[in-house]
Amino acid sequence: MDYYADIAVQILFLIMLGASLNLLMGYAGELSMAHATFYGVGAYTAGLLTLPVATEAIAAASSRGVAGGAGWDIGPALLVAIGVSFVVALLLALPALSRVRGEYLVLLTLAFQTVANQLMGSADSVTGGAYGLTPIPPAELFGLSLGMPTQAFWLLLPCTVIVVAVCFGIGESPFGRLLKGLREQELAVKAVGKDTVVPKLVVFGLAAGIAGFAGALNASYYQFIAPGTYDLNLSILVIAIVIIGGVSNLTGTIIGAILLGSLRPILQEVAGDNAIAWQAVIYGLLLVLIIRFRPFGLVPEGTSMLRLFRRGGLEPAVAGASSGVKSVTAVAPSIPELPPTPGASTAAAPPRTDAVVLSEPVVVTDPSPVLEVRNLSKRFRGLQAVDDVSFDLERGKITSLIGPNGAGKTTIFNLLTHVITPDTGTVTLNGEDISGLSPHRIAKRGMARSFQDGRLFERLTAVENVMLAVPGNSGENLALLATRPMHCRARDHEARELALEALGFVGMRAQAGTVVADLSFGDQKLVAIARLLATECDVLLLDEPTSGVDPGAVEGVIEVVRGLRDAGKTVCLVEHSVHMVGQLADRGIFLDQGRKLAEGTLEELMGQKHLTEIYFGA
Amino acid sequence: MLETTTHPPAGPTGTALLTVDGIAADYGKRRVLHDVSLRVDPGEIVSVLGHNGAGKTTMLKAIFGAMPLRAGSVSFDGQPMAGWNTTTCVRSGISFTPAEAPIFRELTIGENLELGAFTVGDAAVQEQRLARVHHMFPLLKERAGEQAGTLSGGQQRTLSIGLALMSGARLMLLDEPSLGIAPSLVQDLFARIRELSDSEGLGVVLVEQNVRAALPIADRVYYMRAGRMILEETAEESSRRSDWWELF
Repeated sequence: MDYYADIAVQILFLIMLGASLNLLMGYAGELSMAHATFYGVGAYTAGLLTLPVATEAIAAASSRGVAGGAGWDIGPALLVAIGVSFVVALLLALPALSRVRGEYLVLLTLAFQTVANQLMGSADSVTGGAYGLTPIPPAELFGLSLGMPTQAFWLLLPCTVIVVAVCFGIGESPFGRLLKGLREQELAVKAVGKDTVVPKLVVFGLAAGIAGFAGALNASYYQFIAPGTYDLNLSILVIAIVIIGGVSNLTGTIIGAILLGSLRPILQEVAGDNAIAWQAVIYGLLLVLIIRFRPFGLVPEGTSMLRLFRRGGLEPAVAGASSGVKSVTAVAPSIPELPPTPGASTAAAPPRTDAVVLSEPVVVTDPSPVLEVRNLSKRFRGLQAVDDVSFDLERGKITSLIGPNGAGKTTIFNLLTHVITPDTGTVTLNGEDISGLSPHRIAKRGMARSFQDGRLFERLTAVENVMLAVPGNSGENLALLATRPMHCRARDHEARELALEALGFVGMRAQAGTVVADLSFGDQKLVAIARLLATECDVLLLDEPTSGVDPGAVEGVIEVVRGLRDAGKTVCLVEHSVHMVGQLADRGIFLDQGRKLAEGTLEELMGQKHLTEIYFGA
Repeated sequence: MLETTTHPPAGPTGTALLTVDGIAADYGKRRVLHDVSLRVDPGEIVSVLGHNGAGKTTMLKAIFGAMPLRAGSVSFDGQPMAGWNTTTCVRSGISFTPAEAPIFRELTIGENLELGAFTVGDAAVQEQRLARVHHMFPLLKERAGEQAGTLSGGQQRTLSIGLALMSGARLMLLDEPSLGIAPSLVQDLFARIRELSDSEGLGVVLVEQNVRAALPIADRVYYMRAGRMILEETAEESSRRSDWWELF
């Protein structure tokens, strides 16, 4: 009986590890090779804290290693274990995650896993070295002892349920949505004005903290810990559980943990001493088969428990089956200004211009340029991509950057939004110098850009894509989510309403619940515009809004862009088709080889002989 | 309003060399060619013009079997090209010269030309073609042992034409041959292409951004915008325009 109970207990530990890693790997898309180490950090922390205080006799009897611990109760030890794992993870991730590339994290965690495991085995005076720590007293609660497998199962089951529930709650919260956004398109998250570093750090620390919690329980269960338990093999096993079960899906993780957790004992029955060799073969085969036939795991994303149980309740109300963009003016909603978010951001955004009411044309009275660009330059190796360019964007107008291939149009967008750092030049938005600000701060100040290739969050629904752009959604802050859940819930509801209105503006409300990857390219472009609109920015930079859009749908996009201007937005666009620019832009800025050659109305520009020669050859 | 040619009129000389009829092509979900039609007769240079991103290169790739057709058909010399891949195209006498990296820079000029005749089994035919290319472009003979990357931009373009000739092309698909070379050299290069077309009955699809250079050597011109053919006219008609803004 104890044999089977032990297997079940091991599966519970795997579920806790898998669920927490899935938060990091599945939702945030960051791979950690050191999950077993954080499990171990929790185990050693709790072990050292709960070991009885050494008596003279024990100390004399033990010739090596750790003779005694702090003699704490399991309760406080658990909390400290969580804390230590969390802090160690933060310290580790800080250099990797503040950089952009996720690959660094994989390498760093792999190195950390190896080094930390070595340390556990060699730091005799702290960890007991290869001899490990023992005897750790088993925790007892309600008369059940964690030291007895059958009783431990009933103690650990609720713990596992809590861990899964916490992971699920976080994953399906606005914070989880933000993580998914990071996984899909990090640059796009920045472009809608959201910080990307803090959420990544937090989720990394959180996953490690949960692993530490499981580790502390593990130490108490076995009453003995040794470095071999927390090695790279375990890290890889947990990764395999997440992949096989299905990323960002905890039901899948549970199934994966049961599957892989019961494999070893079954093999031991069947194959005896060869069990480990068979296990490796079967893991390999399983991974290959899963990747080949079920690339998103046994239970793919989107088939979550929530969806299964609350279908309809979760989906946005699909009001009116009006599709396409014909209904732009009819639907035209109002996007009211959001009340300020208490404590959501330390960098208080400057006051925006008043609430944008899209249903009524906005009469622009302020004559000062909303954006002033001065002496902008950028050199890529030998190529002067942008050369001393200065221009203004007039409030409430559509200005287009025009020029032949390689004129530097898209580069200027990248410089304005600080995706690329300019060599020289200043950018002033509403009188404030924004030159040195990071992309997400620029978006918070009121200027956002779209991308030629859309850069939508493909595996999220249209409405989720747009919700991610709504500023000040408290639930994206994990601290607020934990302390003020009802407030966050209300704010997320508001964000959904705003997102639906923005989708209505581009005529995509009926497709709000559709996963973006399933939309046509033209519809995706419209969702991208809705996402831009939801940022509540005044200055919108559109990179090729009509390219790749079905000819039948182009008119709709044009109408939407005009609608943006009529709503008081300042629009700057890059389009290769002069014909399209002619239909949209009030003014044009003509660029060639990175330099500004002229600006004026389209007629004025096209009338200039030297511009014609540049465009069509001399 | 501009006319849209959806079906190519029958060629004046009977069988057209290349007939493209209502083709469509996608990049992933994104349809980049819509109902594109075009005709090239033997000895004719047809220029395809349009704004950046209009689908000109994609059209060449679709003709050349380098990307799948989602609709429509292409035929070469009266033969339907359904199921042809790039190798079939080259063996049948179609060459494609990309806008960027049209030659093998790390190889010698001689090796480049040899590779051009990769699909030709007959050594005698290879010799004959090489002699012809050397006759037309003596420079390629003089510097045969040098690395192709050491040639100037204009000379590299010349070599790319040589490569196409070595394959025995009767139809050349040229993607922006003027890219990155000096204006005076563009005129020289284009004059040689015209000569070839006249003397050998070579059909050419000339995709260009440089409208003013392309028009003098072209017979007919197609304009593309946002993945569609928006106008077909003679090069003469096109040259009479003062500018082409309304077409771009």
